[in-house]
Amino acid sequence: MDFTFTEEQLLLRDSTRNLLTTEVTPSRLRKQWESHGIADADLWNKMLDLGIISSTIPEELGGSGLNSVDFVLLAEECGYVALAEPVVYTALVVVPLLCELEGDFPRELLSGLVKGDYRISVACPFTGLVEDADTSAFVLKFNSNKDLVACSVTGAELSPIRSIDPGRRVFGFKECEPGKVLMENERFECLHELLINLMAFANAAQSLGLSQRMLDLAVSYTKDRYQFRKPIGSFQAVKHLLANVAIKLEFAKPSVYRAAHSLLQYAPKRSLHVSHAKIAACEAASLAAKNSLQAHGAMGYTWEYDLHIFIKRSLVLSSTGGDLGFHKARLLDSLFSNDFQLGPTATFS
Amino acid sequence: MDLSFSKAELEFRKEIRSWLRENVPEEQLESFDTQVGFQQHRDWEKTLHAGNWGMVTWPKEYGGRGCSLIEWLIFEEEYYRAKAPLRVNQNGLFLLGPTLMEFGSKEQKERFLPKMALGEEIWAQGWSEPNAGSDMAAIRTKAIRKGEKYVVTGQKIWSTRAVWADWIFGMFRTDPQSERHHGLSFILVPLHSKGVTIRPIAQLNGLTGFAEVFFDEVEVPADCLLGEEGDGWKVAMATAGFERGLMLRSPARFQETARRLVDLYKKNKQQADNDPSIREAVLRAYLDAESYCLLTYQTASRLVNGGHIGPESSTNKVFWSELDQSMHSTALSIIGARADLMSGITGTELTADWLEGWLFAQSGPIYAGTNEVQRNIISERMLGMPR
Repeated sequence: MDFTFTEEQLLLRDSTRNLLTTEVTPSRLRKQWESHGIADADLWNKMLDLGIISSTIPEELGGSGLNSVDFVLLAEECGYVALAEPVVYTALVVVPLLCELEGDFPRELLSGLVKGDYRISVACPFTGLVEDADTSAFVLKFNSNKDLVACSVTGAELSPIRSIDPGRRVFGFKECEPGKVLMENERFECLHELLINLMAFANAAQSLGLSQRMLDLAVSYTKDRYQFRKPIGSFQAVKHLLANVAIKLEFAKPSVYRAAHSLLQYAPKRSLHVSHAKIAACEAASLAAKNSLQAHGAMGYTWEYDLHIFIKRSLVLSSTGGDLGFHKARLLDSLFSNDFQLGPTATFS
Repeated sequence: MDLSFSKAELEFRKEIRSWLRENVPEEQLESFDTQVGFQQHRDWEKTLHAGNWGMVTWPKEYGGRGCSLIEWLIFEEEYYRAKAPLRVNQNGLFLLGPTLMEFGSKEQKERFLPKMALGEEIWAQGWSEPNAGSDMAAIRTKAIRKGEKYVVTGQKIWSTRAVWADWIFGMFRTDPQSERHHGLSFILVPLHSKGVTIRPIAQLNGLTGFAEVFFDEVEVPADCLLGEEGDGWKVAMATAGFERGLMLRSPARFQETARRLVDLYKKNKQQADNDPSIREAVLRAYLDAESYCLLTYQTASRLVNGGHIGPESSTNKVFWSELDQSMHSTALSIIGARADLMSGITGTELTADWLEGWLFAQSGPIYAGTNEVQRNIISERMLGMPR
């Protein structure tokens, strides 16, 4: 039993943090918003060059072979800066899904990703919407026959949809010709569950970083903002708002790390662990959003101040990848079944 | 990261499980806040010690097994799984014990730890005073050095287990001119000394779980000073760290309550579903108990790898105490119309346990430093907000 990260994993997190906080600044995100829907290709290319995009692709295909436990900390950092480019979905959803499939075509797609020939997106299994479809060459989706297919974006009908998060580039997607079958429908249940787990896990990990960012913004603001001749952060009412966020976040983290481990190990309870992580992390982010805004007062309610970037992103991460209702229902089904193991010895059994 | 137990850890689990199966008394003991129950629990401590299970993390020479913190958590899981009696000496074992290990001299460790492990000396805690509750630096009870003795005069209150305990530990003002957290010392006082008067205080369940302790020129040998004279605050903060950290309330306790709660819900599903919020509350109880377990294993792993416990441990105390309250409230909501009935009609045996637990859960956010104090610590020391 060892519930810690290795030195190496922590170092990789630190260097990623340095890179992201320098590159992905709120002003850069705002510039992208103002570009009327054009993706930030420079940023993507930079992360491609650094090997972050391909980091979870197996080494024999040219990636660095990172697993979900290695990458969870990096996903957290991407959340911290509210990275809009689909780096986390590529590394934690598209790649593991393709790695699950046999045959030449999935390997070909993975090689193309490593080389930077194209990008690949997935259709949300709940809404059918596709993030970043316009910059992708292929969209992975389940067709009406429940086969997993890769649809070419060329010729497909893309309808841009507006999210409250200006950083989210999302489209309705209608392919013009049937996609190439990656896996026939006999493995539908298993792949469908995997896809949901991967998306939920990716969102949970980013939500941890988002929560931390909103907490950091509020702590720093309440240190400098004076009222009644004191920094407002010295008032207990304000302190306790933020202490509650710290508590929620502290207890959400290990559930996300456990989910990373369970996905890696194909643990029998991995889906439940992912649902737990999704609920815990998204609830932490939602409390962080609410309480940080309160701590900022009217300043936090302005377009100019950066807090809303993170507030809006936390809503996106909570509602996508299976909303909380989906994950609660999935847990409740198991919790009340007769053979569910509970009690003091059940957690790691 | 490896979230599976090693072969040795599994062996350890097997060993404690089979010992508990043989030794845990079938009939539940009386509450340790009664005279009879206190003695029963003291005897149980002796039984545990005879099996060498008194305090598994302590070094062998003090009556332990030199186990890792992970093994400690396994022990606790098996302990709660087996419904073994609560630990009457928890003030000693979980709070003073680790403090002695860190600050005690060799002689002090040899003098106090084995008898603590044996249950021969049961400890009470003496933190609060009538005018020093959350504001512990306001302590006024004096301990004045006279030759080879300290002379203690003053009063402690809310001293858990003091009614029948043998010793009390706490902070005393050794420098009468000093103020606030200066001039305090951590001293161990035998409760059977001349000049000690104990006035039991009945708690919400009517039993005397704590007491007022009056000291009237009580003479205490000078070697009962723990750490340096004047360093009491530092020593006490370490003890409080253990209290808020992973020693006092291990996750197994709450996981067992969550298990009972799910069971209660399933048995009373029809009645429970009248209130649609109950299902979610039951789920939340399970998830939060699970989260507490995960965080504790994470902390234990970090400590095993040479890390230290920090101010983030204050998040623990807030989390488990609020979890305990909400689990018990949910249970009573499930029981519904008969929730307050302790005996006299069928089915109330079970309710009585939940009610007892519900009352006790109300004290969680108060003892071991109120949750308001914990939130101050979290915001000031963990988040760095201004004082």
